[in-house]
Amino acid sequence: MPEATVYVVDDDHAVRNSLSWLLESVGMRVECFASAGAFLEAFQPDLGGCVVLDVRMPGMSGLELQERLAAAPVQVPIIVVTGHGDIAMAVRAMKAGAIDFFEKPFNDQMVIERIQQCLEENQRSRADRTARLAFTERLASLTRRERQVYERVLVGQSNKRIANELGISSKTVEVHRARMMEKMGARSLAQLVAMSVSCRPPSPANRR
Amino acid sequence: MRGFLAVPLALMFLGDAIAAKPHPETLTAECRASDCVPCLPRPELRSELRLESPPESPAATTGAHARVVRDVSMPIPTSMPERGESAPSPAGIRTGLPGDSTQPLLIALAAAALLNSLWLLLMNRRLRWSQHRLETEARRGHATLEASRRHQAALAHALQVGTVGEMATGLAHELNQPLAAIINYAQGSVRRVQSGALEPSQLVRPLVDITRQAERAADIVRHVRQMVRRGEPQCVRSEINDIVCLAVRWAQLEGGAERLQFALELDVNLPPVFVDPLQLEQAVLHIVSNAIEAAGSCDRPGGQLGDLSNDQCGGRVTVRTQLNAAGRVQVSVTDNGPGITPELKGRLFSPFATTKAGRMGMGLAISQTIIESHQGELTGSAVEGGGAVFSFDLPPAPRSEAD
Repeated sequence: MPEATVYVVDDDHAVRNSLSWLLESVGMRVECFASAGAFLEAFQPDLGGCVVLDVRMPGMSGLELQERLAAAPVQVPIIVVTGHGDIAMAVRAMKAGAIDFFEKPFNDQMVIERIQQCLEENQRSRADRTARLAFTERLASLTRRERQVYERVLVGQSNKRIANELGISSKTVEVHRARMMEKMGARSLAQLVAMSVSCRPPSPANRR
Repeated sequence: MRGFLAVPLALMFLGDAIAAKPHPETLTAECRASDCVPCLPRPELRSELRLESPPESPAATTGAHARVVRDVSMPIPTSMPERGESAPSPAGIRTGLPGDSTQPLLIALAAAALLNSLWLLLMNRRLRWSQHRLETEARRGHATLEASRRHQAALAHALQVGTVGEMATGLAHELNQPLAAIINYAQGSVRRVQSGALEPSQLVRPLVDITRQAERAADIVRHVRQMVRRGEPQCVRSEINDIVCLAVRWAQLEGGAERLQFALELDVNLPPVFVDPLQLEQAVLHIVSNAIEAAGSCDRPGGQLGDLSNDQCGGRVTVRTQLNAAGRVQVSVTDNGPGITPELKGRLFSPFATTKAGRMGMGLAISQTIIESHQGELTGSAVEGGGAVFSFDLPPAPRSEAD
């Protein structure tokens, strides 16, 4: 996985260079792009890091690029910066999912902190995504019986009740349960529940 | 100010002259003489005065005379209304007097004397009345002039504020870029120095960059100050292409310009023009801004609305300089926007004519004023197939001694 990087997309050479000089001073890895198009070419869905995006650029504007990125399967946090912003522009940026909106010239401390937050968040969300993918894979590896046991264990049913419901012996339930726990990589019931809750794909009702 | 006084004075004099010898042509001629007054709304004033002249025309005076003859039996004519059938006729005077042989002569003499004095009395009243009216008219004319002056001053001010205001977005963006860069370079350096991870020699590059960016900001400020400076036009021999290039660069600062294609078709062999470069730049700037606005509106025929993936909506602005058939230096700005709507056609260059929210519609009015003061004329017309072209031409500068 590539190292967390700040991608600066700005058509102004001086702004790009200076931002890179600033961010590198706090040990960040920075890559600069002179246009939205150039960034899109280099963009990969599993890109780790955060994008600092100028709104006004020749060709594709920052806001358009943002809308394109929002359609990508993996969300990369975006901080929008502009030389001259208005409320409408800020609203549009935030609605399209920007983490923050800064007007140039900005307070370096605030921007650095925000970028750091974004990088951490992105790292966390990427770790979450990896965990979720692994969980889904493991869940898919369960047999039908194991899956039935898994679902009933998760809601707190006893082995005896599971055996009754499925019409099999308690001993058989225990065997399925042990195998299921092993396949899921859970050492305890608590761990299995925690894993299931955190990795459950968000239900449509919960999604914003 | 002398012009202001000249009008009422001329009118007062005319009031007398007309009463003595009515002559409407004199009035018009005198008004023309006062046309040197700047900002005078000439056609209106002249037509108002023309309206005034008919009562003083020979025909009208004869009419008044006729009325006097008929009113001769009245003690003192207090007013001018037409009398009805009940009014005694001049013939009635004779019938009321004894029938002596010398009497008819005496009566005739007395009647003539009475008639004469009444006529003089009446004419005097009438003269005073018309003089009063002319004075009122002159005062009104003066007020109109004053109002027109104020209007012009307000327009000029709106021009200054409006131009800067309309450019503010682009200007703020343009100034904030170098400022942001300066702060970033400075803060990046401070952080490195504080963490001890910096050799002094490494500071040279950011410091040079800071200087360059500060100069960039200062250039912008200087140019804006030049543009909004008031003062008499200062004409010098200038290259029209230089002026056009600067104006286009400034116009491109406006929002939306980055989406458009610009084509500069400049004839490099043009003779110089004798103009105020800053004023003319402003004139061209407004025309180009107008074109940018139009070309950026995207609702052109055949244009695909909202097709942003094509990253431009096909807006195009072409600025051309050339020597026209009349041997004058011509500048034309063509856009492929929605063109000129019929309702806007008649008032393209009038102030406050705008189709844009938040715009004052001063641009083209300003351009026209500037171009006219340089012996040029700004014209605008629709282009077949959509869009508009605005162009003006200027006389080439007279040959200098160096040529």
